[in-house]
Order: sequence, then structure tokens, then C-alpha cells
Amino acid sequence: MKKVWRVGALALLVVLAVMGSWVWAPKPPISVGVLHSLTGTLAASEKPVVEATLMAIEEVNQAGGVLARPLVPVVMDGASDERQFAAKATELLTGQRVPVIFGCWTSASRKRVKPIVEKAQGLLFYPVQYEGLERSPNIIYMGAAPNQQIVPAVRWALNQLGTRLFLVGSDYVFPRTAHAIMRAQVAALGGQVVGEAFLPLGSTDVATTVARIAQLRPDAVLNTINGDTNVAFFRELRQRGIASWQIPTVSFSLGEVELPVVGLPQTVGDYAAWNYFQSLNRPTNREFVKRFQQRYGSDRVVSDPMEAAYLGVKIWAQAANRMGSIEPSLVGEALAGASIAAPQGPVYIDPENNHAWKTVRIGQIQPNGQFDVVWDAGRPTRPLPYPIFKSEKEWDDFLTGLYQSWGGNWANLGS
Amino acid sequence: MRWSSVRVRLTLSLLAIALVPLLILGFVGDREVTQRLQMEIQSRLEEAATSRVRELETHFRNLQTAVGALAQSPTLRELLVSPAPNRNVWQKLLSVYTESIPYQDALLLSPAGHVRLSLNSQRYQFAGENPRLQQAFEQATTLLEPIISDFDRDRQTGEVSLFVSAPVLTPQGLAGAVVLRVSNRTLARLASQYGGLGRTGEVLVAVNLEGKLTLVTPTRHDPDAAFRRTVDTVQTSLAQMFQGAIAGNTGVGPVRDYRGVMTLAAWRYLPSLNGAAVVKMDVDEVWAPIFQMRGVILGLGGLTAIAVVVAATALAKALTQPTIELTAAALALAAGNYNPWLPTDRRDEIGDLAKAFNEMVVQIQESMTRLEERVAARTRELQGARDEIAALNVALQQENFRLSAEVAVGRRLQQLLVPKSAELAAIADLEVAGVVEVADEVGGDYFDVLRHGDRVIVSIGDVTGHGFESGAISLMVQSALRVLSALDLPPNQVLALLNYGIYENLQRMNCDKSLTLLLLAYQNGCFHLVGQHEEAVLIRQDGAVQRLDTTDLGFPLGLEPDVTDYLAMPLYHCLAPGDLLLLYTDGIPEATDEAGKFYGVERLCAVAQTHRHLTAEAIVQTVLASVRSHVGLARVHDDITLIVLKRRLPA
Repeated sequence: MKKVWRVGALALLVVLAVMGSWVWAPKPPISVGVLHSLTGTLAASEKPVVEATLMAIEEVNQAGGVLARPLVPVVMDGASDERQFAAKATELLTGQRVPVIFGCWTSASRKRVKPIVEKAQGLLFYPVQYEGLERSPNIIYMGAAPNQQIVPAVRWALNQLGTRLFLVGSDYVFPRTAHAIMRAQVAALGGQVVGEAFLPLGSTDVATTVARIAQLRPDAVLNTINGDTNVAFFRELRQRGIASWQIPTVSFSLGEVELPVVGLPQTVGDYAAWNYFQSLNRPTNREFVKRFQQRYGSDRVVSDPMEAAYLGVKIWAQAANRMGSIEPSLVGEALAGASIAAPQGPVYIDPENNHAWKTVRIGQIQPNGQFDVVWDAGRPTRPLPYPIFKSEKEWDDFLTGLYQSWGGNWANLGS
Repeated sequence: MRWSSVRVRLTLSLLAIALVPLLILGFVGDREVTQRLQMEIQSRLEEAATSRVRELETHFRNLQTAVGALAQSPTLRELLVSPAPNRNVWQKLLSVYTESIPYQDALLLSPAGHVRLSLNSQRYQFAGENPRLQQAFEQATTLLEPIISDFDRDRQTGEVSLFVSAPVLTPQGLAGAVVLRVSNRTLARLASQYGGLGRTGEVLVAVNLEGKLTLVTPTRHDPDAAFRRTVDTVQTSLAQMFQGAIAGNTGVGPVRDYRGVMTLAAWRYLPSLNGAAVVKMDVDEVWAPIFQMRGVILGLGGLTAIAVVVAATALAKALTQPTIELTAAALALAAGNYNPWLPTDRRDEIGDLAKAFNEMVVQIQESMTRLEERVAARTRELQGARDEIAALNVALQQENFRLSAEVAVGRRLQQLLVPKSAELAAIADLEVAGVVEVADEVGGDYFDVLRHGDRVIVSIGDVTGHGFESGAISLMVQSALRVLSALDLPPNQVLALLNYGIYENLQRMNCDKSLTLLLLAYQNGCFHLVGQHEEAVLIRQDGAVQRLDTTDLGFPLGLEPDVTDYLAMPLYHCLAPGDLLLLYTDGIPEATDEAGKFYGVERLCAVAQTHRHLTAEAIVQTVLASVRSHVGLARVHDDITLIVLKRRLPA
């Protein structure tokens, strides 16, 4: 009899131990991909976005992780080279088998990564404002579509600044598309595009353009320059004696992060159009900025793409937890119609096109490097990746035309 | 009922084994299932909320898409730029693009906002007449995308509607705008679909209007709620829920609704209205499946428990019944009842035990029977033996009587010719003292002292047996010796003649008795010794002791006709004055005390030596006293005969 009891007790212990190990064993972590330029010309803009992404991942882990599993970021360097982005994306998706990538900056990098992520049935969260004209079931566009940044800004400029506008931008797909939209809008609203210039990426040859501006004296300059060229451009403007109160510039790629680089004396008084400003006076935003500065330094600034990247992580974790799975197709289902109380206000993922409903704001650059919000839409705007003045097909043709004219690139890489 | 009884213990054990796991499983299972059910119900409610929101958003998107598509149709462009827009064309166009949209009015506006064509009413001439109309028109024409206005409330009719506007663009620029007025009834209808929401479920849609959180659709429990009911700060949790949803949060949780009833609610953000939708159901209805399940589990559990108790009791009874019967039977057997019988129809070990028990009872019964028979037989045997013994006893008693009569006769014969003391005293130089102490049973000692002149013949002997024949033999020996002593024959010859005479007589008598005889022929201080008998003891006056062995001096008389060959040279010794000679029979050295120890010749010698200076008579008495004291209380087995001869000291 005693032996039976002993054997029985032993068996019970074994069963309890096995069950205990199932229930209480630490769950394996989830690797998530973070793909940005850590080196190269775009590193200055993309590294803060990586930091915001990592902070979001840490906050998710502190709240218990996804499905009670901690997230582990796998950070890869796109090196400011769209081909590197493609290669790293492939490695992340097929090698590391990450269920999601938070990354990309330039439209070129995104366009190269798009087919890769679609083929791998993965998920990419894209945090940057862009030209639209794209949709993918595997990409969540957290940045503004043209109707959430460009179009309202043009309307505001026409109302507030004047009807004669000069368009300047870097020579790649985003500014090219933006200018097309702006032109159509300005024409429809009875304004006038008095001049237009495209500067190659990284070029500092701004003298000619600024001279033209000085000569034409538009009511405002709409600026889609991206990168170092902005430094030269604003410097040249000021050197030419063009003050912001004389010919204001409304920029679309200049945020809190870029201002110190471009130079504050050079940019004070000009405007930028974004969905997010660090200065937004909302409790959620104040907390968010405080957390970021506590983690990275009290002199650090937060810009729109950083907030968008942060939101991407949070909304992905929320959807995965709700769905009970990290399987990209299932999380995609949960992301359709998902909403989050963001620092900027409510952000809602439109199930129709995987773009985010975002609130449009225009801010004026202050001497302290922050923006003073001069116009706020007050509520999120529905994303329309394809502006209605051309049909979708016409827009696709437009893009294809650009791509082919640049010899299979998304930027004008020189001639 | 004995609490330690095997039946009670088995019943309790079975109950414990069955009920304890049942209870544990019941609790754990109930908790697990409740949790799962709760999670499932919650997620279903969330799904209902998601799908409702999707329907509502789809509705708004369809509005925008339809009006946008309408605005882009070439026919519309033509209509708008034509100086006199044709209503029929307008109608036909509308029917193509907006067949799924119940609109109340459709307007075509110029870029400046003049109403060029209105389908149903002539209400508005100018967009500015209605702020919402103006809002929709202005935003559509500057943002160049389809716009839905905020809610417009007609002051006269109280009807609520929305304006949906889209810009009409031509290559030349903005040609104007198209605006549809859509009644809120569609939204109300959508929000009033309670499929999947049971009896108490409803959808609340609220928007911040003029600073107040206002319901914009009728509710199930308040059909007049639209634009009348506000979710004010009195119902804080519901208001918080709405405000949280408007901020972009989603979630599910319990909340007390505007009726004060506890409900489970899922809240969502509605981007098209910049408002919120809350899908809720009364908690009672929501958790009803759980209570049902609980009830079922309890009911089933109760039934199972009852069944288990009944089964355990019956099983315990069935299993222990044979053991209990067997115990009772064994107890009966132990008490002496040899008749218990157990049923043996079972095929298991209990049945084997019962069979073995029954066989054991049978064997015990048989043993008992055989034992009784053996006892009876043995008793009969014993009876027989006892009768025999009784008979033998009688015979023995008779024999005993006869023997003692004979013994008495023999004694008398022996006593007849004992030498007189006067004779003894007449012997000049020898003191002769002698005594025969006759034992009770064994007898036969003989002694005599004969004088003939200065010759003295002392004889001592032991006749076998006792009784009449022994007495006769003593007489014959005495007579023959008296006659022979008159002749002056050598001692050997005397003995041989004596033997011849006794032998012949014994033959005639058919008697197998015999006797030992020692002859002492004394004359002038010296003597001859013949005959086989005990040792003679010679003690000198100075104390030297000499034991004279008589083994070779003869043979018992009466056994053989001629003993001449056995006769050796007679022993020849002389007695100095004061010397002693002791003659005795085996009664003295073989006298036993209570421990069975013999008196022994040595002790005889020692006593005689110690008292050698006494008279012969005194020495005899001393030795007798010593022998008597040695024997103590033990029985005397044999006659004690002692002759002491002492050469008188000169006077």
C-alpha cells in the first residue's frame, strides 16, 4: 500500500511540475524589425525616429509585452541607401522572421521594400509623411497623405499669405508629386504658381533658385526640399535679405529635429505643416514629451515622424493583443478600424486604405526651435492617398512616368 | 454502526475518492469556464462594436465616394457649366450615382456658392444661407475632396441632416460643387439595428455638440434620444467612456448607463463624426449564459454526487458483505458452533475463502467426531486395564498374605537354635558376642557358635530368600555342623561334607536356594578360616586392621555337589590377647542411608578399631548403634548380623 501512495504522489508531483512549467514558464520574446538609416545623409533625421520607436517598444514591454511576451527590437541599418533597405528588409522578414517592421524614411526606400513585404506577407509601419498614390495591404501608413498635409497647407497659404506662390523642392518622387497636387489645387482655387524649382538631393546649388525668388517676389514659398539642401536654401534666403515676414516659406519636411541643423535664426517666423508638433498643448502630448526627454535627454526634441513611429509600435501592440496573435494577416485584420489616443489626438486606421486619420496643423517657427500652432483642423482628416483631380490610373501613370524618366529610380540621381 | 467497520471505511474511502476530485474539478472547471466564457462574451461584444462602427463608417464613406464620383462625372460638369441646367438630366444623373443613398435634396452650386440647381426644394439660393451648407461647400471647394458637414438641425421641422459636398473640377479649374442633403434617418436606422445584441443591447452614437456630449441617434430604450439626450457629467462613467473613445481609445468594460442599469459596454472612436460609438448590453443578459452554465454544472454536479453516494454505498456493501458474513461465521466457529455454512456461488477470492471455510468447518466436525470415538475407545481400554489391575491387586494381596505367613514361620525356625549367652560365656579365652537384627522383609542370616572341648567353631552365613525353606536350611546346616564339630576333621573337609549334605537335601526338596557360609575353627589362640563370604576383619590390640578376603576360600553351599575344587588352603591366623575378629553379613556394609549411601566395610573397621578396647558385647552394640545412626530413617533391607570375637586379656 505504501508503495502505491509513494508512486502516486510522485506521479502527481511530476504532472504538477509539467503543468507549472507550461503555465509559469517565461514566454519567449518576440523579435520586431526596426529598419532605418543609422549611417549616411539621412541618419540625422532617422536616428531620432529609431529612438522614438525603441521607447515605444520599451513602454509596450513595461505594460506586459505582446501576448505576455517581451518585444526585442532587431535594429538594422539602411545606410541611407534604398537598396540596403531592401536587403535588410529581406533579411528581417525571411531570415529573422519578424512579424512586423517599423521603418523606412524616403519614398524610394519604401517603394523598394513594398514588394518584399508584400511577398513575405509581413507588415511594415511607415512613419513619414509622403506623396500618397500608393496602397498596400501590408503597409500601414502612419505619416500624412497629401490631403492631410499639403492640400490643407496650400489652402491656408492661399487664404493667409497670398495667391502668388513659388514651389521649390528636392528632385525626387515626393516633391514631384506634391508639386503636381499643389499646382492643380492652386489653379482650381484661383491662385498662381509664379515659379517652380527642383534641386537634386543633397545639392547646395541654391543660388539660382533664391535669386529667382528674390526677383519674382511671390506671396509665399512652398518648400518640399528634403535634407541638407534646406541648410543652404535658408541661409541663402537670409543672405539675400529675404526675411520670413517678407516672403514666408511654408515647409513640408522641416520639423523640430531639422530646425537646429538648418539654423534657427534662418528659419524663425517661417511655417511648417504637420500633424504633430512638440508644442501641442494636450496632456497626452506633454506626458509623451516628458517621457522621451527623461529617457534621451532634456534638450532633445520630438518631431512628427517620431510621434508617428511611436504610434506605429503602440497601435501594432494593441492590435496584436486584441487579436491574440502576432500573425501579420491577423494583426492586419485587427488594425483595420483600430484607433489610439495619440499625443496629437485621436488617430484612426482607415480600413479602406491602411492610412491613418490625422489632424492637420500649421505651425510657425519660434526662436526656441518650437512651433507655435497657427491653424488646427480640430479633428482628424480622412486620408485620401489619391487626390481626386486625377483618376487613380492617371496618378499611377504619372508615377510610372517619373520612375522611368529617372532610369528606374525614385529620385533624380543626377544628369 | 461500528465506525471502524470495514464497510463504513470502504464507503467513506470510495466517497472521498469520487467526490473530492469531482469537487476540485467542479471548482476549477467552473472558474476556468467562467473566465473563458466571460472573455468570449466580451470579445463578442467588442466584435459587435467593431462591426457596428464599420457599418457606420462605411455609410459615411459611401456618401463621400458617391458624391465624389458624381462630382467627377463629365455629364455633371457639363450640367454645371451650362447656363440653364436641366432638372431631368440632373435627376437621371443622380439616380445613377446615388441610388443607394437616401437623400432629401441635391444641389448644384457655382464656384461662388450660388445654388444653380436644386432638386427638391427651392429653399436655398445661396450656400451662405445655411452654415452647414456653407461649411460643406467651402471645405469641399478649397480642400478639393468630398466633405461631410456637421449636423444641421432644421428649426422648423426639427429634422436633422448632413450636407455632403464634392468639388467639380475641370481642366480649367473649379467649376463649382455638388451638395447632397442626407437625412439623419439613415444613421438612425443603422444605429437601430440590434441584431446580435439580444433583448437589451443597443448602440449609442454621441458627438460633442456645442460643448455637450450629445446622442445623435435614437436609442433602444429612448427613441427620442437623438439630439435631445446628452451624456452629462451626472453619469460620469458613461461620459468618461465616451470622452475616452472620442480621444481615440477603444475598450470594453462595465458601466452604469443613462437608465441607471449596469451594462457591459464596448466603446469605439467614430472618425467621420469625430464622435464615439458605444455598443452595450445589460449585464444580466450578457452574463446569462454563464449563470445558465453554472446552473447546469450545479445540477449535473448534484445529480452526479447523489449517484456517486448511492453507488459508493452499494458497492461498499456488495464488496464487504462476504467479508462480514465470513467474520460472523468465524466468530460463531470460535464460540463453539460448528455448523456455520457460507454461500460459495462467487467465483472470486471471497468465494475461494468461503469454500475453504466450509471445508475447514467440515474437517473440524469430522475431527471432533473422530476425537470423540477415540476418547470413547480409550476410555473403554482404560476401563479394561483398571479391571485387570483390580484383579491383579487381589491376587497380589493374597500372595502377600501367604508370604508373610511363610516368613513368620521361617523366622521361628531361625530363632529355635540361637546360642545361649551362658554357652558363650563359657568359652575361656574368647569373648564372643553376636547379634542378628532381622529385617522386615528379607531375612536368612545364620550364625552359630559351637564348642567342643577347647575347639570353637563359629559359623556365619546368608541363606537366599526367606520363608519356610530358608528356615529349614538353617536348621539342617546347624545340625550337620554340630555333628561334624564332634569329629576332628580339617575345616575344608567339614565344608565339603556340609555342602554334600545340603546339596543332596536341596535336590530332594526341589529347592533352588543356597547359602554362603564362613567357618572359623579356633583353637588355642589361632584359627582357620574357610568358606566364601564377606571379608573378615582382624583388628590387633595396637589398632592394626587386617581385612581377610574370603573369595578364594570356598563356594556357596548347595549349588554344586562337590565344592572341593573351590577350596583353597584355609587362612590361618592367631589372635593375641586383645585382638579382635569381626564376622558379619552383607547387611552391615550394604546398609543404606536415605541418600542410598552404603555404610561400608571401612566404616565398620573404623568403628571397631576405635572401640577395640571395649568388650565384645560393647563393641557389637557400638557398631550396631553406628549402623543404625547411619541408616537413620531409611528402610532396612537386609538382616544385620555381627559376631565379634575378642581374645581375652589375661586377668
